[in-house]
Amino acid sequence: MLSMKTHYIYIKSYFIAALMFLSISFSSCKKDDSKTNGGNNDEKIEYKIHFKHLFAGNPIVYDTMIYEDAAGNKMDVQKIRYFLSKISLVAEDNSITEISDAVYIDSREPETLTFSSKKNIANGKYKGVQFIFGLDESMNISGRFMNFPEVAMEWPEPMGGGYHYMQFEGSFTGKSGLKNYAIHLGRINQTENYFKVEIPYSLTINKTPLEININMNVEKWFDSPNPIDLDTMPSMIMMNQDYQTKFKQNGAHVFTID
Amino acid sequence: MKLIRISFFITLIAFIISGCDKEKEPKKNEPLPEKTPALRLTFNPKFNGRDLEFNKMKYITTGGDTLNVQRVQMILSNFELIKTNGETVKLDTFAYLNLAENRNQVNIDQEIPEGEYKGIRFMVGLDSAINHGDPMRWGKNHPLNPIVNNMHWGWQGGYIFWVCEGYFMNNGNSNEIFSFHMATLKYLKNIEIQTSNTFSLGNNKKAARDIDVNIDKYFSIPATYSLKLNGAVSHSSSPDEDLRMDVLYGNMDNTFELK
Amino acid sequence: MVGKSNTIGFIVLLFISIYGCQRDNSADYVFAPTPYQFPERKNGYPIYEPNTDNPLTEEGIALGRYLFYDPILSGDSTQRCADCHKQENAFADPKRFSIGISGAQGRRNGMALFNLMWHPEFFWDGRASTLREQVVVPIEDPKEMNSSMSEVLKKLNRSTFYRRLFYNAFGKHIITQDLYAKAMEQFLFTLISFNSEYDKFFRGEPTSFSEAAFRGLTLFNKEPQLGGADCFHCHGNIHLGSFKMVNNGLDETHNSDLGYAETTGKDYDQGKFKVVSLRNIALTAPYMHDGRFATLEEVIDFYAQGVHANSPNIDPQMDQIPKGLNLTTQQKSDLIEFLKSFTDSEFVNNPNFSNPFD
Repeated sequence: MLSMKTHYIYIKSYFIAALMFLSISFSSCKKDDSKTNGGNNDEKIEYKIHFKHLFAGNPIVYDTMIYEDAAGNKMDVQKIRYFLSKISLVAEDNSITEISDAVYIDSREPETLTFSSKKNIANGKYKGVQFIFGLDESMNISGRFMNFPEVAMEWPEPMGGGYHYMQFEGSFTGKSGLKNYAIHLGRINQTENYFKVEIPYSLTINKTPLEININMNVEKWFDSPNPIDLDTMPSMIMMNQDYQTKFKQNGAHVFTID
Repeated sequence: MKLIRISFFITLIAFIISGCDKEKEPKKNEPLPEKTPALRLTFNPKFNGRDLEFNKMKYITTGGDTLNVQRVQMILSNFELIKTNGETVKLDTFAYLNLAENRNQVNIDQEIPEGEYKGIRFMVGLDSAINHGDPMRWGKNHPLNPIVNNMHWGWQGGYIFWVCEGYFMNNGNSNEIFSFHMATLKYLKNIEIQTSNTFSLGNNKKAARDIDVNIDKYFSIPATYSLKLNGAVSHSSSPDEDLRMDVLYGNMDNTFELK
Repeated sequence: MVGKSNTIGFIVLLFISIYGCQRDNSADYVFAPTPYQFPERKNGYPIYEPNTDNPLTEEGIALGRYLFYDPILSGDSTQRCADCHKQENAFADPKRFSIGISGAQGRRNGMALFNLMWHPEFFWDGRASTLREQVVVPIEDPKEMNSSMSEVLKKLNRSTFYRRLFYNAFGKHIITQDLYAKAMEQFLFTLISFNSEYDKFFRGEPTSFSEAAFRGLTLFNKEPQLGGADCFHCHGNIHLGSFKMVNNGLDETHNSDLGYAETTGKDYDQGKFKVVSLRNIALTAPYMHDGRFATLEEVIDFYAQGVHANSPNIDPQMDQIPKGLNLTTQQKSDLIEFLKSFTDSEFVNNPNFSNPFD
């Protein structure tokens, strides 16, 4: 609420400055439109992307110590918040149609679990879906998100600024008892840790509404090539490039599509 | 003959002793005899062509603001000299200037090819490798040492390239802060300034040139900027703030003037 | 008869003094100082640059440490530097105003001592430009140790203990102000504190740095118009303090203490005081030059709602802060958690910095 208010005043006082650049914004909007490859059919297609979060194939039961990491530590899942961005369809001819900007997902907030929009998408056969886990350089800029919930993903300026790619938290039972874990992924200084996910998936577009499911198979974060033992993982890994790299590698096969 | 020899010898010893003395006990607080650099650039803050006085609420901009300028600071790099025939000479100079504290000179003392020069290029800011490199590797008097310039954002966040700060009279006729910090690679600014008053360098020739830093133009040319209307603060820290910085960034092309 | 005994007395005296000299030249009087090894410098931390005319040695440091903990420096030999600069408080004074040997009270809070090698000026008003100038001032201040350098040097030169230590450190038999100041500088330069939980977090080392501290870190480094607390403009570097002289808007007018203007004589420097390092800040209460705030909560409340926008010479870096920061109770407590992460417990417990007479 507070931040909404600040935001409003901020926008208002700079309205004039914004006007000065309206013409520039218009021209850039045009450019954006011409980038899409939907030029050959004028009708926009409605589409929905659903995000599902599974542990070993089943929907997650939150706050319950029924899961295990790679080392056999009992664990629960309390929070999974993350960004996927530039979700795109890859056509048979390898042309790419971007169907989203940055999408914020909170696995426990149903209204964030479906992203829907409309766009011209060329009819034809598509062979895959790709997206960026996190935010790339063009999107990971401080001040891009002014409101909750996205603003709560901020990444501090001395660490390179921008936003977390993911905040994944819970607790686990280690050798010394109950502890919390926090898998917070992001850019460390100038080292980008986002990654591109490419998943083969055949579909045909023929002016029909499109629905796809992107699944996060949560257990795979702990799996391979880097088995994760929460008991030996430091409590804060935001400045720990080793662990950022491990999760980046594990993350490559976390997502599936159906 | 012998006498001459002895007296020569004594003189020599005296020289050696006095030389030794000097080395052993440098006189405290006495500046070393100033070595004149090959090229000295002096940056002078100006407003409407006259010397700008800091800490005075008296400057009226084209945009209708009355200003009291407190600070004009900048980090400069990638200096190049331009010959009258168009050839350029790269210099390996970094500079931090703080005009309110009279830190306003860039002394270039490296071998410069002989020739007639008409212009200077420099960058306000630092390229990525230096901007995001280890900020504390610089010695205590180096222009890029954060304690010297106070223009670094902590750890590897990078430097602020340009600071222009002070107060202005707001609509309620009271002092309000204005503060512009130009930072991030997006706002690296290349400046090229030339003069008809050409200068010779190289082969032990020395030159000194003044560069005006026109604060009036910073707020007016080509885009008239109004602190009251357009906003008094931008630290290049969000897309909305960038709307303001974009204007002033454009005006920087006309801020510097080589005399 | 009288003349004869005088002569004998003289000879005896001569003998003693020669014997004394011989003792001076005995094994204790060795000048072979061992160069001091600074802790390993890590990336992002400042490089070590001691003054070239005073390289640090084990002997010089040990001597400076004795002096720091010895009441010999005060007028009536009752007060030590360490009485107002306590190690458990990161060498700051937990009293609001320090009390001198005559019972007089100063008007400013005793500053914390660490990482002094990188300070461009000393004291709240920057009146000493080197540490060697600084270490003389409290000795001669009537409200502090109330002595004089000449008095202290007499006492030191009378002490066989110090004559030996000075010889060991500098190879000189006569103790001068210059040598005293160099010894103090050497010890004080070794008070290095870069090992807080905050540092460990940034270095990716195991740390107790918490989620709350992390939220505080974000607020600390964010502009006020974006909802941040905007601490970083003055406290953003590796020292967590710019060491510049600024007015942070504590007062509506500057009457009682003019701050930096007392050093420079310039009106526009009135109300300016040194920006201090926030390292070990949780240990160095009370806060501000006059110790007016007893707790970090009070400090945060001041910055959030109490800054005087019209304070003459308020620093433009204060930016939007005078308009008020909209910090929630949770955000304030996150900031304090972050400030607590600057505590370097290794530093305040380092046996190399404690009282050597114990």
